[in-house]
Amino acid sequence: MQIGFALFNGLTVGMSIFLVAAGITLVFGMLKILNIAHGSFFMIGAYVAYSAIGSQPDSTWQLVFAAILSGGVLAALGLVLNAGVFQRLRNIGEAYSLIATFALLMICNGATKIIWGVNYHSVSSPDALAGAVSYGSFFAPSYSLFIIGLGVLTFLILEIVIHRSPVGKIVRAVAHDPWMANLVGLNTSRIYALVVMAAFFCVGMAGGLLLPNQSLTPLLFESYLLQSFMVVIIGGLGNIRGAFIGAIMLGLIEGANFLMLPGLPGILVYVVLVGFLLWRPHGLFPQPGADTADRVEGMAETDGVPATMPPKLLSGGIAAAVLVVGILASTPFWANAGFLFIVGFAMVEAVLALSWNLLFGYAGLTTFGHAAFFALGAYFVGFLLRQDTGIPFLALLSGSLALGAFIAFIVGFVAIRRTSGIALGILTLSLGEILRRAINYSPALGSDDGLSGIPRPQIDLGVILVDLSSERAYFWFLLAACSLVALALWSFTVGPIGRVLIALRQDPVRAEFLGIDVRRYRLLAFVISGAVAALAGALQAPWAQIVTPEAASYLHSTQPMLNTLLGGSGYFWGPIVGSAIFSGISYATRTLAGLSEVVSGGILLVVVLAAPGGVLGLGSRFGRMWRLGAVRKRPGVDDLPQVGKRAVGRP
Amino acid sequence: MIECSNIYKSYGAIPVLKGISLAVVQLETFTIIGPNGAGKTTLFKVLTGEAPANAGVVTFNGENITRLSASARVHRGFGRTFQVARILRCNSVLENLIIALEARARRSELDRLLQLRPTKQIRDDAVGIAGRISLLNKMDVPARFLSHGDRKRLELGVTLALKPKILMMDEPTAGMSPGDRNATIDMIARVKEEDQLTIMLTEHDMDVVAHLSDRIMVMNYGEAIAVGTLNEIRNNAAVRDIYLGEEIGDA
Repeated sequence: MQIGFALFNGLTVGMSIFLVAAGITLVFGMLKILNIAHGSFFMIGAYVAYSAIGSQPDSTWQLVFAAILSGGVLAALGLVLNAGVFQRLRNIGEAYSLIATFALLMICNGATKIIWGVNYHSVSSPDALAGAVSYGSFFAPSYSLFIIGLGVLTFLILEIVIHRSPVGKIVRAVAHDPWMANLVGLNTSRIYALVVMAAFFCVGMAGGLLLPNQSLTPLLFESYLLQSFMVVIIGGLGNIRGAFIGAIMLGLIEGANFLMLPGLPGILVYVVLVGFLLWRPHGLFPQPGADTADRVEGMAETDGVPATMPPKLLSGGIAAAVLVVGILASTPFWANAGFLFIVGFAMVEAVLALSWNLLFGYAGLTTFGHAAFFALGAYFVGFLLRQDTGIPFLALLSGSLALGAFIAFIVGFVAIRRTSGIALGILTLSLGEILRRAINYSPALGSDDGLSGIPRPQIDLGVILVDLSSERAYFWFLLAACSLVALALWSFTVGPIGRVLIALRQDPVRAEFLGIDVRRYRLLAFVISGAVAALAGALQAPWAQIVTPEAASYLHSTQPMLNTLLGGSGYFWGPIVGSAIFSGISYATRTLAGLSEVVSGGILLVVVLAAPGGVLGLGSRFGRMWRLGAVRKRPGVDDLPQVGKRAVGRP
Repeated sequence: MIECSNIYKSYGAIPVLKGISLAVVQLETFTIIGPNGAGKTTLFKVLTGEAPANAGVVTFNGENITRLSASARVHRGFGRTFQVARILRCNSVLENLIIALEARARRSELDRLLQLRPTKQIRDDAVGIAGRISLLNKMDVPARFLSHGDRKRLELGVTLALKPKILMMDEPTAGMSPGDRNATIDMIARVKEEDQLTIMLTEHDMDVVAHLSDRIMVMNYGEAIAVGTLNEIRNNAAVRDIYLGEEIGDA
């Protein structure tokens, strides 16, 4: 009986997810863009429907009409975004388009908070759907039956339209080979717009239909986002049938989780997903052309690579570094406590971003779970400091490095061997989520609340005892530690191994035929990156004096990506510049909930679309133009006498 | 020097190589020709380790290398160039050569890790190779700004930096102007002489084939139709059949 109920519940969950995932699948199938913002569009759909019907819909029809209205609003939004964003993303690298859709997610979430507020709303199901249908001792809530029916209906409509209709034939042709489709006279841009609108209509409608029995908060985007990803990954990206089967599988796994691991809700899905990705990285029904690994390996034309060697003259760089460190060191004398705190955080985030860019900008790997390493280090140090074990702090920091390296070696050894591209991204994301959930349900690690009241340590140097308990003292220690890590990483990247990584990022096949064992060097980068990320977490725990499971969340994992992209992934120092700018934005917009997300997301989107080289890329472009101007000026008529004089005056 | 026997390879349900066997002897230039889709590039991929064969054995100097990765084969003396030159597009000519030289040096000298800049020796060698491939005047130009012919030459230079024993060249003159093509023929002949190389190449241009090849293998639909010298191939009835209407008879 319980099994039957769990199965039924699982089916309901599966169909709910399918309603959301159908849109992601359509967009991916057409544009080859994995739309991370999809969950936010679902949320906006739900809010639009809520605004239309309030918290107590009168009838089922009213709910359906509200859902169709949401669909219409979202379809219009889709039309705008297709022209303004998606079409521009088709010719840039996969990682950039992922990050652009993440920027959209931030903008949508921020806008939702500003428009609808952060309060909790709930909507009850209409009376006709509030009851249950029973067969003997088994009863099924009418609303669940409603959702299952709609899920199956949506699938059948999409299936028939895509695979059995003339329109579907055209759509499939354009998805398969847009260039050829264009040559035979199909208006591809109109078809793109049509499919994107259909996808957005689906997700808006899903938002409305799934509104009842849902808590409507600005966090709603999360609830279906990851599951939808899993569905499309399991099914094979861009395949509606695969998504449908994937959704049912996922629902059944959720049901099994409920029966077998009631204490750890939602964790089994991730475990199964990790296993699945390692088994079949391209899904149950791999689509030709959906195998994006090749596209990741070919870099976009606009990408730059970081310097392969130390500059000939180090003096300028040293002066700049001394200046920056000097200004940071003076912060405690002139800044208020809140600002000082932000600066400390920014330094740690900068180190985390540097470690992530070692993967992205150097080894050519895009991971979405970097925060997991950070959380490992933070919890390791936080837990042991609270226990007052007497282990020296520097030993704890070394321990966190070793822990990060060890876990990264195990994960990387398996993951890099089996996956690449989007599969690697989703795999690392899932591992991060598993860690976050495991922490969430571990009382020893403080569960949801995390570890608070972490004491700041003392460092015994034999001769003197350095007390880091004051805010100032720890800030200076943090600055010194972060600077040292940055310097060490920099030396690594401009040395011989850095050159190997830059080679394999640009062209793994060429690197292999230079005799470079690509997997081994990628694993090396993964291990170093994981170790440094764990160290960043370890340094942060005594600074914040609290560690929460959010440290491992995928939202935190995206922070280093944003910082890197904003600053410029083609520059070693890019992530630091990005961290500084992002921290500045979040400090300046801290008073209005949602504004900081809209501003950060907006800037990020503009950077990805208009200046993929980041702020430093823009800077160097302007620098080059300025120098070219100067070059052109030198042989000008006005300057000639001077040039001559200088030449003559030379002994 | 390199031998393979009974190589089978299919992409999904489509068989591409159907039992290819060949043996290339030292210092020979062995050319594979055949119509588009004959499986020449796939055979190259199998021999160099870029793609695994479904069945068959590849040996190099008597060692079974069938299961070795491409990089491990490079360590044993493979050099490979591609139809479309694979070079590090964002790096300059000098950096391309330095990275290749370091990749080779690393196998013998691990102690150099703490020295960030390339050694004097490596820089000098890079300049030397740039001279051999006539790119001395473009040392600081990022590879993506090079002309098609220059890219092909740079790729050859990068491969020579690895001091290979056998050079595997997939269509070394694809897409070149006649002038560039003649220069490339001369350059390949010269480096073969200077570095005592064995060369395997695929080629469509019969001029190049005639100038460089010691022996030729003709492939069609994944099978080896004929192996022999230029004259033997010219007089082979099966080959004439495949190339009917093409100019192999009077090349």
